[in-house]
Amino acid sequence: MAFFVRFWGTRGSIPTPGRTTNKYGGNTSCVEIRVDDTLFVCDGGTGLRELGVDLLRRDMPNITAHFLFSHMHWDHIQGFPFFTPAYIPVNTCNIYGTSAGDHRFHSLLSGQMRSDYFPVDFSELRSHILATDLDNGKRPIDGVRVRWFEQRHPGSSYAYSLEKNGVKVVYATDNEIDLTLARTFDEIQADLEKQREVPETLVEFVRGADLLIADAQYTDLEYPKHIGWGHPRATTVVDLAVLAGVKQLALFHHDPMHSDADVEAIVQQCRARAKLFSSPLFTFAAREGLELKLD
Amino acid sequence: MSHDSEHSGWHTEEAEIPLLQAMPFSRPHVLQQIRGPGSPAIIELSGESLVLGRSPETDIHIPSPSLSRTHMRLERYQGTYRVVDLDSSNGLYLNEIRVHSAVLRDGDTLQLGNAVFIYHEGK
Repeated sequence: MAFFVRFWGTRGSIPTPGRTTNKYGGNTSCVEIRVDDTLFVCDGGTGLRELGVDLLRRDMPNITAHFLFSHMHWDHIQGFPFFTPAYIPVNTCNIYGTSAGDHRFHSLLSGQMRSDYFPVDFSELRSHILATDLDNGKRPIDGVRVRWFEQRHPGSSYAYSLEKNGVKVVYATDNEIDLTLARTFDEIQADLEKQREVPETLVEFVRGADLLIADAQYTDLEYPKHIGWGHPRATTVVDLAVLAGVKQLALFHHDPMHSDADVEAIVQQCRARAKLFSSPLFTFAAREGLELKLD
Repeated sequence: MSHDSEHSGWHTEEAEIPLLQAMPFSRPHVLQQIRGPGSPAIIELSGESLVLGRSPETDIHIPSPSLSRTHMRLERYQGTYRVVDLDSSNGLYLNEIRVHSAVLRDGDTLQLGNAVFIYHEGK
């Protein structure tokens, strides 16, 4: 048994194709997580289109995809109308809500395909697109325990934890952790090197993860100009990972203004911060086409 | 004013201009080996799929006990190469990250056992 985690879109907010983002990629949020033959898709940003193309190249008689959406903002759903497997009758897309009977995401996802927005109606998708839910983490999916955690983001967002046979992967994007720590500019600027007191409930949710994929959109310098936009300082995410004993941290949801060189500079800042706290945490930037195997 | 082609610099007669041969502006994708047995070396990549490993039967043979017999596959992918770890014992590292697979970009560093390569994207 192994988890395979592949990044198809790592950018936040809006696609950013071009030479300066070629290495880490310009597609918005989409991560494939395979556990044995079970396929989870975390978010359906523009990276989902290429995942769909790739799935059709694989030798599979049919495709069942379990979609875990963090929330319904554009950069997390725009790829869905271009997900070719959704147009093929033998395939199945399960769209999960969080608590029992919660079908919000299925409903909102279909809304973006109304004729005002898109030429093909949701009803024309020929695969089985099912509204279902995680029943508060009580319902395992093919033996994988899937739990969720509500995050700080305008309109709310959800992190997901996937666990099986002692392997744990957490997908946690669009979470302004810093809003839970401080509210004023002075508080945010105070003692930047001091370890931040991340909420214990979040630390517990993430605890012991083999891989944490986390929103790390802003630098310490940028964040004060973006308070309330729904994204944290990358350094705060390092503090979360250190406190939770995470093994590997993938910095995710790269700011659309950040070039490849900017992303690499943030990685260095984050590694230096983990070292400051004598943590063995390994930090890297998520990039399109990168696939990890965790077992 | 009459137009005197002889003095205008614009020649209407067919000139005998030698045809240039097509310039080789393209250059291949390359793995530059900077460490390990056989280094330094330049390995030009061609073909749809190549296997690198310790076995002499591989396409790119690196005679080091730190490599598995078939350690990594390189496959053409969207104008560049993608690398896939073939369940090697010591793993495949891309820029220090242990990966199962990755799409290569110019300047990436690959480490397999004690062999280290830099990938140079061709044109």
